[in-house]
Amino acid sequence: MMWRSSIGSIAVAAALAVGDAQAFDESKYPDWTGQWVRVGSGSFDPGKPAGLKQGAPLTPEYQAVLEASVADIAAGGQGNNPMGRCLPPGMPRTMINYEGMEIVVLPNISYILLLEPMDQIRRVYTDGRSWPQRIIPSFLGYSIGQWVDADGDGRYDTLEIETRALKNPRSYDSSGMPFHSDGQTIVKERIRLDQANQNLLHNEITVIDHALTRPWTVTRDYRRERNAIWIETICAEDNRQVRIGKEDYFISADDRLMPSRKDQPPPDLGYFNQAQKEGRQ
Amino acid sequence: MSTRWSLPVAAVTLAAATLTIAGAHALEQKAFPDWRGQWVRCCGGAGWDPGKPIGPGQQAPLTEEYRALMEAGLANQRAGGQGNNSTPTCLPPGMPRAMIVYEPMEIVITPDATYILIEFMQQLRRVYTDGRDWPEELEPTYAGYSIGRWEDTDGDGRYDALLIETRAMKGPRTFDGAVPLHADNRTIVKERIYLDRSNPSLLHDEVTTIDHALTRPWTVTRSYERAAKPRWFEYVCAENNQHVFLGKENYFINGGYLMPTRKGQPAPDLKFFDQAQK
Repeated sequence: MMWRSSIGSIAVAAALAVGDAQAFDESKYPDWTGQWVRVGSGSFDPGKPAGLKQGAPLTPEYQAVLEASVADIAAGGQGNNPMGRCLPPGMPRTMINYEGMEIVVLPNISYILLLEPMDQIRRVYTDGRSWPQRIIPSFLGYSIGQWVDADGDGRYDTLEIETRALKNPRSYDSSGMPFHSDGQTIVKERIRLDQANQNLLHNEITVIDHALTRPWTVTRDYRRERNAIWIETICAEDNRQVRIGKEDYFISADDRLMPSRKDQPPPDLGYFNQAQKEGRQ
Repeated sequence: MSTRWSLPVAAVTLAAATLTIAGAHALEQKAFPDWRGQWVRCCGGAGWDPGKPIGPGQQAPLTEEYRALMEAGLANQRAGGQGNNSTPTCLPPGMPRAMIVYEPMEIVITPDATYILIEFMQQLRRVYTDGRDWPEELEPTYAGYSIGRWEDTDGDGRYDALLIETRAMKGPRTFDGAVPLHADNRTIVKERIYLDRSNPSLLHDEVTTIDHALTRPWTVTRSYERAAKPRWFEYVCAENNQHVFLGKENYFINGGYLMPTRKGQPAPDLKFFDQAQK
């Protein structure tokens, strides 16, 4: 399915004029090298408690989705949390930055490389392109960026990014705070170093979504680790969750299927019965 | 778990690396080849050696023990199972299989590291070209730890080949859907990546694998074509994966049903449900 946005007409007026992609005047760009590690909690707004206390400006319809998700999680289920099934967090949740992030800055593109729940590769185009007429939706979306020299010292210090064409299912964090099912989310980011601390990166994230009554802005911070040790996080390696139809089950330590909530019925094994009958005939 | 390396064949003399990059942040891309764009697998099949048929037709120089393991895996696949192939469980292919490049690849060159970004399961390889030595201890990963060295083979003052050595891999891994690697995970992979001399839109990767499942190093060359109009998309294994593994048994999900994958397969043990219902 291709994507066309109907949420406003938000245009990025990219002003970069890099003529030769191979000629890179790196002195114009900030030094964001190294490994960036999450600061704060794993809730979308790191300054507030998880779940209902995030104070997300949800419409009543989507507030009810959140409340149902929190209740399901309390009962042992996965609620509205697709990462429980090893689906990627997508945008903007991936910028919670669960396991470390690297930003590779080139003149026409920046790469934001994240680790959880598997490698996540964000391409942020800074070559002045316009939005394509049609985009295949993805969990990370399609991102166009613009470098800004906010303090006027002749050097870029801020990367503004807009991301569209996002695919569902996504949630803001593990509580299951929902996005609208129409997949029309737009995410705007403003990434910059702290003015007093060159090892602290801020990302001001604004989400525009039809499940919200107004745009929702939070700021996430990342701390620089110069001596990076990169790991792999492979969700499928340790995943003990199984979804069959609409039911979430659990795989026990001895590799048996288990209920994830009280009185949950087992999955339908009708095909085994058929196969066994056919085998007897 | 960290690992230490003991295979004697694994000596890369990075101390003799010819890189003369002054600073970690001094980007002199003019010295590097133009490998930008999207690279798509070409020129052969999805077996590890693209020039040969899959399975026994690969003629992998396997030890007798691992040849028997491959045959058993193939027999299991013929019966409906997954054999030795771990990717149906959404585990990444790891090295060297990642370089089959099932879905397109991008190569991002910076002086200190080259990033190989592969869409299939969003695999990320960091190839360090900053002259570092092997760390004393490495945490094993599917992609492994890669150190590279640029070479100017034709002496024109511009690098044209990237030599990579990769160690510290984690299992389970296979060369492709059938040919196994040793369970000790002591694999070493050496690569030589270079553009075709007559076609700058054709990239070659000469890959040599050293592994205790092999009787000798095994070298194959894989090639990739540069896409004229790249379009990136996500490959998310978990999104459409219908396979479930309970211990060594592989089942299939169809809607709300759990299904057998082979004739006569017993149904899974649901004793925990019986307990819960009692």
